[in-house]
Amino acid sequence: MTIEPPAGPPPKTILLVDDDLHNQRIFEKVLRHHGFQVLVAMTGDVALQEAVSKRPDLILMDLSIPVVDGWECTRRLKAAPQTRSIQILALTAHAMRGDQERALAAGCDGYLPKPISPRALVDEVKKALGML
Amino acid sequence: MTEKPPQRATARDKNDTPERPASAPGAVPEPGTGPVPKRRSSRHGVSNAGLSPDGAPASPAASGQPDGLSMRDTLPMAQPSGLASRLKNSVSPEETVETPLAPFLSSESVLQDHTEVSSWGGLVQHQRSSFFRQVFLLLFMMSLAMAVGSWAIYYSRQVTFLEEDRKQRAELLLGYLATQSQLGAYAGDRVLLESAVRRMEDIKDVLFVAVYDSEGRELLKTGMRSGISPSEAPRKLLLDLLAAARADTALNVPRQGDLFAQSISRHKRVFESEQNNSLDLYAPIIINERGEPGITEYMFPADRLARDHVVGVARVGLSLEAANERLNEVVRWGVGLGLLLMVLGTIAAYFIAGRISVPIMELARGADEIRNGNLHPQIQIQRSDELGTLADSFLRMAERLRETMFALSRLNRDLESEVKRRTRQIRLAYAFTSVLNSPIDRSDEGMDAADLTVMLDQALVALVEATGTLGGGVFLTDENNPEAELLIRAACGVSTMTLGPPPSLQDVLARQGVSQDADRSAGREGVRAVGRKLLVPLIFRHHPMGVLVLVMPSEQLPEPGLIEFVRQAAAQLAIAVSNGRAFTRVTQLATELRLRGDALAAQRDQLEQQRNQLTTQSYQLRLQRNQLREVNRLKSEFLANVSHELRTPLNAIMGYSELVQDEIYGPITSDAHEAISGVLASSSNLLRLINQILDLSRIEAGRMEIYFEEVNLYTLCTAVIKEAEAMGRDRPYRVYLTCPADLRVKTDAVKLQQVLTNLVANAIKFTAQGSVHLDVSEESPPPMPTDSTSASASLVPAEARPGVILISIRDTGIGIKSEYLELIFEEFRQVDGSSTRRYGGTGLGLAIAKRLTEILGATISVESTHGVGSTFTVRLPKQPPQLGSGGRRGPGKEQDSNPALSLGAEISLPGMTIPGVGLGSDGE
Repeated sequence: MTIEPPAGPPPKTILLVDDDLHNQRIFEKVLRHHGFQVLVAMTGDVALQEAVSKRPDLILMDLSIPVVDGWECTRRLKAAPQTRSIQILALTAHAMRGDQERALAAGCDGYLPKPISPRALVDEVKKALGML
Repeated sequence: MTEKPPQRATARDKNDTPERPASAPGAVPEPGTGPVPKRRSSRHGVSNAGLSPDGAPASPAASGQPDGLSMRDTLPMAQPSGLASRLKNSVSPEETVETPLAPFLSSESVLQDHTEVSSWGGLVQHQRSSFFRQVFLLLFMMSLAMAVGSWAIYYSRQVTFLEEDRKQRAELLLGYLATQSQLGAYAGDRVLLESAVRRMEDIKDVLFVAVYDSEGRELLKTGMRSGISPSEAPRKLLLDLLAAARADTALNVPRQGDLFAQSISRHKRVFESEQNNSLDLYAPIIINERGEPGITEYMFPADRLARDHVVGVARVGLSLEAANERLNEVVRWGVGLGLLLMVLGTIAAYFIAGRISVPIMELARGADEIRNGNLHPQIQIQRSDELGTLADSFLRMAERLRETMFALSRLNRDLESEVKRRTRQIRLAYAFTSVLNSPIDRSDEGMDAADLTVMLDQALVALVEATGTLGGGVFLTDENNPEAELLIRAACGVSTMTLGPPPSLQDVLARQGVSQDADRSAGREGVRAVGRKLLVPLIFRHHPMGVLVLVMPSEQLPEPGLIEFVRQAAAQLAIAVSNGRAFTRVTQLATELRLRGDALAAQRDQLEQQRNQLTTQSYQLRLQRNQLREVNRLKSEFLANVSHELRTPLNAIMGYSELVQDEIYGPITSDAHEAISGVLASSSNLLRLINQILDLSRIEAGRMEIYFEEVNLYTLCTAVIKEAEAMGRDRPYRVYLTCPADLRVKTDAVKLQQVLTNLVANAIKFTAQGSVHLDVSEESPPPMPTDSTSASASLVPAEARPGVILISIRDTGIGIKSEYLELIFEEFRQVDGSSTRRYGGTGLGLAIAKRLTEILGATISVESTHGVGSTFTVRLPKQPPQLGSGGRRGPGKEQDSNPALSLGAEISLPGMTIPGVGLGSDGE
């Protein structure tokens, strides 16, 4: 809630992949608010380019995205040696039973069903990055 | 006779070089032209006549034939082809006279041509010609050799004889001259000599005479024939001769016989004169004391003394013309005789060859005729020699062959008729047998006594026909009374009068092996002849069944074969009767069985029909189920999409609200805080609604997965109350929990918590004031029927089993009217339409709770009094009813048996206005 100014270590970079503009704005806002550096992609191909070129620390991956879907992006990133170490959290509105299993099977390190509270999201991200 | 050799030679010459005429241009027409056969035949005639009239060396056509005889034997029909082939040969110029062998070769080819010609007419022709030619040639050569040989012998003998004759004549003449000229030569008196010589002048072949003295001086010399002057005698010859004679006489050996003759033969010298065709003979003239007395008188006394004296030399010239003339005559005669012999031999050879070969050819032709099937060969050989014998033998052989063939054909005919007879017998026997078998063939129609009688009649007819008897009858025992008298069952051909009364079975059986009735036993066991009747017992497996009676045409005993046949027929008849009786019984039984079988079949058909109906229903049900599965799959897909599309904007709503609430966009007023809280609460309601809808659809799709585990009910209930309180924070209420602290049950904690949360939240929602009680207890073993059961809508009465947990939620709310009790567990049902707006909620909670309790093997029931409150009771087994699959089966079964429910849910879903529901709740 309080703005934590970036301390000694450099800010963590997060690639936010979402095709819904509002959700993107909300998550970008709250993540920047908490001192993260945020990259944004709305389609799978852009996400893959950004992931390879910018090497973010973590990717919040929407699964239903155009061009290349999130499951496929995850599989490719986890298959490539240079991007395998990037943590990927599925951030999706696919919240039916079995969707979590499918996301993890594609290679995601975590699963966050929408709707999710921005506060909870920040907590999950920090937990994944070992900042809590 | 003199013409024959040249003709012969010409013929042979032509034979050896047949191509010569052909190669001569124009001698022969072009081969293959039309007039060839005609010309050929005309030339053939010329050839037969001998030399061609115009004196041509040969007629070309005749050149191919070895001789005229074989030519005559050749069939005229065969000539054209023979000519053609020969002409074919003749036009090949290479074959003419290239090698010394060519004539021979061409002769061979001619012979082969001849063979071809002959083979056209048959093998006999060829053999005849060849054989005839061989015999003829052999005889001809023999006669030729004989002629030449005899001529040679004759000639040599004649020459020898002539030589001898001439020698003797010469010595005679010389001796005569020497004797006559003894005195003349001794005396040297020419006159004496002349008188002696003159007598020789009459001798025809003496050419000249000369006498020489002892010194070799010529005393006398005369040329007898004019123009022939004797040559001068060689002096040396004369002296040698005189010396030799003197030396001989000097020996003075007394000689036996004629000294003169001896001396002549010993000392004469003969010279053949070439030019005069003459002989020049010299001989010494010798006188001896023992000579004629007349001569010795004239001798000198000294000379007279002793012995022989050589007094001169006599010389005679002899002409050889006469001798040569005789020799020539001899030669002529010899040649003539030889030719005559040869001609005679040739003629004889021809006849002899003909005499030998023609009968042989005739025999060969006869044999050929026999070979061709003519058993009456015409052979004209009237001979008394060996060939005649041979012909006789041949004819006898042919006759024998004829007889044999006749006998054979007769035998064959007999055999055929025998075979026919047997075949007929077998056919009749077969007819009889097939009559016996026919009831069996028709066995599917069944059999009765009438059928048996018909069969017996037919069999008897067949049997009578097969045996050639006049008629017969069959007597059978009474089937039901074997001891009674036999009954006639079938008769044929003869009247029953002829058959007589039924014979006694015992009699017929007893007669077995015993001769009776004029000892007319047929000799075969079981067959008895009585008068004209044959009695045969019908016995099947030692059971006598009746008697077969056959009436024969005469009292003659039938032949053993027929008796054997009748015996076997009777055996078969017995079998057939037995079979027929058995069949009759079987038919009766079969009829009964069939009637029963029909009844059974009717039942079976009925069952089958029912089964088919069931199968059809089952199929239809399966079809419906498959359709429902497909519908459910589509529904699930639709719901997943709905869920996704609802969550995405909901996320934005809640996210923005929270960001505003957290004043990330800047400070806000307290009113704004309140508004944002409202947005967040409504969003939460909406999310809950969505989750419930999804839960319900998942349950109905059978996709709800359950995990049974040990659950502490107290802990679970505490969590339920906490969650329910969060939902109804704004209401004045109290929730009282009564639960044993360590009550455990094996169930799905999440599902149970969801059920209880729904029920508690529902109770809170409809309780404006008062309290909500959550009581958990273990049911006592005898289940106590609650007094409110009558008023409750107990959907599925729980099966009383040990270890059931009772969980009841009791409120003091508005209650439910009894007419709605049955409806409250349906989707989107609240007590009335207005209550939704008043009390909020989705209307899905109870429906979900009911479904979930069923999945857990539990039941849910409600009792309520309108205006007082409601009590919901969950009966939960401590152990899951069917561990593993039981939870899944519950809803699945319900869905299958009640498709309308899920269909209704699916239909109602698009119609429900989720924002409206949410807003209804939001409106509070």
